Amino acid sequence: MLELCQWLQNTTLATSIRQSTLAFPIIEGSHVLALSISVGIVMFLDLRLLRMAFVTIPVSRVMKQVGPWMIGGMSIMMLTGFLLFFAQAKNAYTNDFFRVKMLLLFLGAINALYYQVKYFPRMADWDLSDKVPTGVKVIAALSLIFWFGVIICGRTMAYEI
Amino acid sequence: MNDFILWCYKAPLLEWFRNSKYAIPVLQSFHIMGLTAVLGVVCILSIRLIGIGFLKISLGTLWRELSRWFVPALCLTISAGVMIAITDPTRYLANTPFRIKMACLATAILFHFTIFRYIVRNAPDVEVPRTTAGHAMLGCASLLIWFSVGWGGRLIAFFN
Repeated sequence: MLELCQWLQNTTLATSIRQSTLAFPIIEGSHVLALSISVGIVMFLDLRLLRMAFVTIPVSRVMKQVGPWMIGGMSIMMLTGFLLFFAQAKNAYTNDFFRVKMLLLFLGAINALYYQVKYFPRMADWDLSDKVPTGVKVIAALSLIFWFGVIICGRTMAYEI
Repeated sequence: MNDFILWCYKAPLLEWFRNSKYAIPVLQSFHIMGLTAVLGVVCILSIRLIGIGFLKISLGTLWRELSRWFVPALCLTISAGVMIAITDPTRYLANTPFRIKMACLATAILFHFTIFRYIVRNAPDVEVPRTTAGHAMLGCASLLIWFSVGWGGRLIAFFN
């Protein structure tokens, strides 16, 4: 894996991104600012599940409204993130904060999947009521914690790389 | 002002921040968390005004619910930003993108709490949206000014 990352980092494309005056700042700036479309919008779904925002709107409607933007925002994050990794693959791979960031992203994905499997099928039962199952609240809180952890690791890794 | 700048470089707490390995990245992380929420609110409201999303939630509800989070998030972002800047005020004050960013930030805040707020609060609060050209332009203007602040921030390091 380390050799693969070193190879990726040494490719002409990766080197030109890394050494460019414009490309790297633009990709990195897009990665940070696209947080607003991804995490910035998704956090309000999590806040709805915690009954801290939009309590008069059914969860299903908030979910439907947020959905397309979450997919679009996350796609931009993944694309820019991959390009950033590609440009400095070996340095990122050996960076502890990068590894924790990837772990938190993975845990976040498992968290979301667990919700889809366990709670989404019966969502109609509690969608319109005042009560949200405790398990759902835990998932929403974890989601916020994981995302903020990702942000902290993402910023700190840049200082170690 | 000069006395204040001198103090910034002498104060023990700020010296600790400057020398600590993780203090600045952690401060920057809080800055980014705050701006994620601020720009998230701006994106949702602007998208709704432009008429390309969040159409099933009324503008009034969106404004009411999001404003409760906008102000604390803005306070967090600005507080963290101030903390970062006062660890090295000479550098930031001399940095052109930083000055442009501050000008854009002042404009954005003024815009958001005057024109933007006035038009959004006086828009018909119906769940079936009727997007007008005026609303669409307002949404675009909002995105432009707030993301100018964001890009200004990114360019600070670039022009060091």
